[in-house]
Amino acid sequence: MNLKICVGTTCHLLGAPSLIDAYEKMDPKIKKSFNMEYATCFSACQNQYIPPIISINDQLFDNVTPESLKKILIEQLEKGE
Amino acid sequence: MKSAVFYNRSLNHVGEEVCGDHFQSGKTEDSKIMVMSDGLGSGIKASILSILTTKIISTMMEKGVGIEEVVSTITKTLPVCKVRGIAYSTFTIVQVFNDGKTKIINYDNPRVVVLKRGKIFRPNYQENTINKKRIKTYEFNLEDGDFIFVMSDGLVHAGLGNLLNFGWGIDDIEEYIEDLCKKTRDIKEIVDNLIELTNNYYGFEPGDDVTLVGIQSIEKPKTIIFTGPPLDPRSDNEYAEKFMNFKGKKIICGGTTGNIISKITGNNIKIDIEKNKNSSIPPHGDMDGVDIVTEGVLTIQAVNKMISCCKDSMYDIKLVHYDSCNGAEKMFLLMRESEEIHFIVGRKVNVIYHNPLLPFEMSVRSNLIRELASNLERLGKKIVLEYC
Repeated sequence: MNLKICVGTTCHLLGAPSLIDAYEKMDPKIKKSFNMEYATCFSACQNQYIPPIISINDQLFDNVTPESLKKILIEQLEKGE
Repeated sequence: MKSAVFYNRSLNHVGEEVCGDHFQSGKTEDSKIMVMSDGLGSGIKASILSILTTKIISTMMEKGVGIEEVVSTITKTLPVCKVRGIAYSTFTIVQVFNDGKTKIINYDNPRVVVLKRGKIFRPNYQENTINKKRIKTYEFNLEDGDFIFVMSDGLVHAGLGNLLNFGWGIDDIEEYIEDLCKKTRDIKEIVDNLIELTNNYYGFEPGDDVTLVGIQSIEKPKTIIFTGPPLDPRSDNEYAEKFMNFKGKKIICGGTTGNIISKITGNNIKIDIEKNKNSSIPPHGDMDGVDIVTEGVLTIQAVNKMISCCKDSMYDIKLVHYDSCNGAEKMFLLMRESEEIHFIVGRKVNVIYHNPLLPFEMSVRSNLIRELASNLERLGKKIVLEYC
């Protein structure tokens, strides 16, 4: 599954580095199902999405925290099975 | 249009706080002027003499006084030691015009080393006595990739009484430079190499002040920076084309801007996760046809901070390997190598920048660019600003 973490200006200021850090420290069993990339601005923050924003297979998730990131990844994995 | 870029370094006489040599650059509308002077002795007195000499020469030339008149004036002014019969300060003037025509005037400094197409070149010279001082004048054309090296005699005497019995010597220095230029064309690398070697020959205790100025002729290097989306999306194509067709280095500064250019050109932005670890600013990436894609306002703020620490030159900041730099440092290095920097500044603002959750000091992009442009101009760069 394609995981993209936005590293644009507002996402960076509102928590992207801590999401990146959380992903790096995550259980390898979860990470192995994802291909993680940094993304330049989804322009989503202009459309009422709250940064930091990620996308999984082009579906956007906003207001992500290090805690909710794990939950979202697991949910997506379960949906995909 | 040709441009002379230069890089200079000095070593102080052992035990001295200041260098008795001085280097000064200046420009007229159609030329660049570089002046080096070696003050008699070492320490503060020598430093004052050499500073006076270079300042008088470069100021007179910048005000349009002809080089011959400048030489006549300075030779009348420069005192000569009655005991030893040597000048209180020497000088070498290099004037490179925009068309490549070059004039060198040398008084009492070692022979200037010139490399043309990688080979030692000994230009013809005229020798005149002006106000009892023997002045050598050289005139030739400087072409792309040619080098000129101006040095004080501290370099020529390197090793005297230490590792080399009679000092390094100008002939051997010339040959060494010719060999070195086969391995690298980077003027900073060449000058640094020679200075380090000189220091080594002196056993890290230079017996004289040492100065080396490296001058290289290149086609006027330019950079274009596209930052911020155009206000009217209908003009995206026009500005993207202008940007991609520019002859010079290309920097995209902003994720949204990058996305626009990526969509129009069909080239993807690739952000290397490994290269962006431990960076205090957002990651930067690559795109085919572009030198770098960075984030926008935070990167510009970081570049501004670096530039405001530069007093006289962008070489005041020491950065080593381009590949290990973050986005702001890479942008700084690309601009440092350019004479002329163009900005295309999009006026579309992301409304979320006014969100109270964001740091209050986040300036509007156009203010940051204005500050950056002003700082770059102060450091001698030509700036072209276009808003869209």
